[in-house]
Amino acid sequence: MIFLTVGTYPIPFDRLIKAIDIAVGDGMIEENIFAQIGVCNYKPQNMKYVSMLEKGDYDLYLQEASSVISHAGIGTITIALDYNKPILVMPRMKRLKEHVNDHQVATARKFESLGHVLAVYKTEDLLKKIKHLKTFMPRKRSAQPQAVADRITKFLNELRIKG
Amino acid sequence: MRLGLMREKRTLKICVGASAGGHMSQLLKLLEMSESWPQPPSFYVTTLKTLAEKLSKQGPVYVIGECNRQHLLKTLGVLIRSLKVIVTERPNVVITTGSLPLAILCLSAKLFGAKIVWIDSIANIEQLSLSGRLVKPFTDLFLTQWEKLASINKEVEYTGALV
Repeated sequence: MIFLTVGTYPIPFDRLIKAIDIAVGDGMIEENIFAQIGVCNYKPQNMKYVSMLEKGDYDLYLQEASSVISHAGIGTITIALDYNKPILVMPRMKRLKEHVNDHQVATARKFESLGHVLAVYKTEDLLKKIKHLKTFMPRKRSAQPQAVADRITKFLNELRIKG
Repeated sequence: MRLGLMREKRTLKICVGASAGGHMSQLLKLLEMSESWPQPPSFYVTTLKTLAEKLSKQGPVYVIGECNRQHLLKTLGVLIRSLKVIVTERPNVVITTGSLPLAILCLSAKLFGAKIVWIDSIANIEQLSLSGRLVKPFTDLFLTQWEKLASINKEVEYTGALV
């Protein structure tokens, strides 16, 4: 199963959902797709979908999926990387009123350049890139959450003394 | 001298919060590493009910709703719910990974004397988030997850990435 998601952001991202749905309808994608479409106005005809999963279920779908197609939201990217899932991201664009700014484009470019994700920037390139998903091996990401937590520990301890 | 050092440290009431999606993924990573904090968080704030179930195992959860800069009315709703949470709970510290609804929570908390720890989302690579820039003058600790952003912004620290 490919898990298709546009995350939880409260603006529709019809472009991605519609493109995949049409591709499935045309027989261009063989694997089953399950989608979380969020607040999209476009309702898929050719695949199963929900608007929003509970957080626990969302993680479960990501875990069970063979691969992931997603908006370039950092949450989905992070969880996909945690589960070592090949992920293809298409950023929401400000110009198309899919987000309030273009930070998803920057995220896609950065994480693509680091080898963590596959990225696509134009709807017409989507199908070509999906073909690469099967063989794509995402590079593991190393983060430093403990260092961040420790910095906050220091801050909190100082706060307790200062009163 | 010794007496001074032995002075009782005050107990902090810690609020942690994040918008649904990537902001929450980052907060959850932080919380996994937060054993060294002097106290665990007293309560949680998020923006969608889909997260409430997962978090409620750890403590009380308040849902303040989603908003973005394009919907003034929704933003007002978030402000009212934020003020309600702060007046009810009166936290000493708010620790958040964003976004705009949580920035509004921070401003509400600051009005009542709370200290603010803002961790700018990793999705902001080229510049600090708009919400981050909005709350920055009111923060007591401002962390970014990109070294470059700490070097080009005053009073912004980098200690590592959460994800």
